Amino acid sequence: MAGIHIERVTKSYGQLAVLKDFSLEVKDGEFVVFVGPSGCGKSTMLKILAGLEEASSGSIRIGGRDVTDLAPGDRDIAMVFQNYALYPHLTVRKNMGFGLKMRGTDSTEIDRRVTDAAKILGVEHLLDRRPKALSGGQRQRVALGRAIVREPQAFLMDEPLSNLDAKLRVHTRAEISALHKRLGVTTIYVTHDQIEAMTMADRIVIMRDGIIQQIADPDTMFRKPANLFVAGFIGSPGMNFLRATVTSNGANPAVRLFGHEVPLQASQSLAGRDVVVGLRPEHIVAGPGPVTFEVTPRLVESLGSEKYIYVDVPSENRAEVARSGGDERRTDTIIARLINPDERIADGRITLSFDPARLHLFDATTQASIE
Amino acid sequence: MKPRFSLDLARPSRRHWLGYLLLAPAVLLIGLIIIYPLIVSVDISFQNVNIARLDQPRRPFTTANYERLFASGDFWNASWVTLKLIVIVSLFCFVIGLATALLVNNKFKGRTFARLLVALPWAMPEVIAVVIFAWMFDSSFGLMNWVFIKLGFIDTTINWFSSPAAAFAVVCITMIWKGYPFVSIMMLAGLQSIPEDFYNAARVDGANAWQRLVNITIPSLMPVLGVTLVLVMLWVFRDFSIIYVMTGGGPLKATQSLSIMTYEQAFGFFKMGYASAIGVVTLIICVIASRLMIGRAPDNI
Repeated sequence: MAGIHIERVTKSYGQLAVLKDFSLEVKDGEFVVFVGPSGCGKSTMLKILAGLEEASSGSIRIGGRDVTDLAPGDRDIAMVFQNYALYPHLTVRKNMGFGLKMRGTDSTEIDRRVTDAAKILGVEHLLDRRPKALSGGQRQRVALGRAIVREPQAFLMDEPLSNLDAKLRVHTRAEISALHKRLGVTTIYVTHDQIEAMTMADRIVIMRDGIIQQIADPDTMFRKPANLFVAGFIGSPGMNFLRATVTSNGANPAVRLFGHEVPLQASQSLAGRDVVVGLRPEHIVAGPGPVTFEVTPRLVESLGSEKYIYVDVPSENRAEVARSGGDERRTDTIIARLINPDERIADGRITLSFDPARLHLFDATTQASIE
Repeated sequence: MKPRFSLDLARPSRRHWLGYLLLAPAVLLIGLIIIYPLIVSVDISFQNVNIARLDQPRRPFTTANYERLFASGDFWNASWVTLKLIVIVSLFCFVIGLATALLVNNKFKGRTFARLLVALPWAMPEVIAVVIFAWMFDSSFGLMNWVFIKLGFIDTTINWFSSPAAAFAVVCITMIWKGYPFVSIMMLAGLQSIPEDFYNAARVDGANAWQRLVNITIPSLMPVLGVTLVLVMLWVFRDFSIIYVMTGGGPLKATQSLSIMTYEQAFGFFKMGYASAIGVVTLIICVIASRLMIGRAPDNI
């Protein structure tokens, strides 16, 4: 077990820079998740950590030892691959013991460790099968088992859940978290799924285009996103964005949203600036509140315990925000997520409200958060 | 509506008819040029026939051809020559084929050109290749004698085609040269189907290049390897033109394989009944050998 120290790592393929100045300090035993849309450089960073790719510049230390130019096998790390990379010609037992065998470990010792790992993961009854005869979830466990028998200083996981179906993914997610608590080994986990990041991570590193956007624990990430990208990426459904210009009426600055003057708890110096106002779907509630407005929903989706209300945005509030990844949302609607709504929608109209204290403010040009 | 004749193949109950219909020409052709001659030659091998003619009346049934065959030293010599050829040629084809496949599977400049070069001998007609090799090994003007003398391996020219061992070696070299590209192409296809993550996982596990070759590459190639081995062996078994053009089976029957012997008996001495018996025995050996090798393959993958 050891901490990982990544200092100013960059990676470029010719002109194309896929990682720009990546620095990160991972504490011993920490579970860090790299998350971001595809092509953001998170997998590249993991491969550089594993030694499968060479960094263009920068240095990496694992447990205080400089490993920047060490072969993957000499770094004392174990990796779990997205497609598991189990060797089809070997039994589960031999697959799990492969790394130890390559290091010339004594065969009784290999056997003991493989049996121990199999016990932890509940795959003892599968040890003499071939990977072909296993289900997706079982293969996933064997791949984890192959990593833990090595007893490495750190685990690197490259989207290990993305080949599982939705139900199994939720289950395995919890198992990996429990396994991490039990073993306490430093883990770096790469995913494009913000839910996996939120549920499993001690700290999340959110990336876009090879640049770290924010490093924080899941709660901070949700409550205080550093910029528009983070705000839109974390949370499901994503944060609503409304465009507005800050006006100054009397003592407090205010913005005009849905035809209402909404006072802001912000400094007077904002007056006159273009901002993007962020409002989480969960923070819009049914019924009257501090800022109340009545709307005709464009669409209502009911999930049983909650309802998603799609509401048209007045043209003055429409924000041009490039959203990331698969979250292609129209900018002319916002979503309200109502938990157990008892409010009936009468004549197609519904009363919604929000608390101005819940609003997030972002600079319209730099996209950075305004405190 | 009046029923009228039409062959409605789109009906679910008749869908398989189309399949049979499309297969029919190929099946007929195979029956005509493979199955029928096969039956005829099995039939002839049990008769005392010299020049086979279909309009001749049947001769009485006899096993004399087979009795003579198994008692003949020539047959056992030809079997031994064939076996030696198969083992030596297959082995070297595999080593060279795998090595070249691994080589051109790497990323480097001019890889496409290198792949072309590797496959080149395969594209060359056998007879042309043999004529070139025969010239290279010519005792008076040949390139090989010159090279070996210059390198100091020999001090006087070797007459490659009059010494049994040398002639056998030349035949082997020619066959290996002609045969390895096929193995190489098959291995290259097999190599490209191995997921990159297998190697990445092995590298993280600390396996060095040799361990990766032995533990991942070779086992992953096993299914392709098995099929390729059978095809190469069958090719060596039945190949006729290389040996016939190069040595004609000589000197002293040192390069007389079963296929050369069959040809010689049938069209040299016009003993077609006897030649058919050799052919039938060859066929049985081939069937058994390929069953043994392919039969083992499926449980590998």
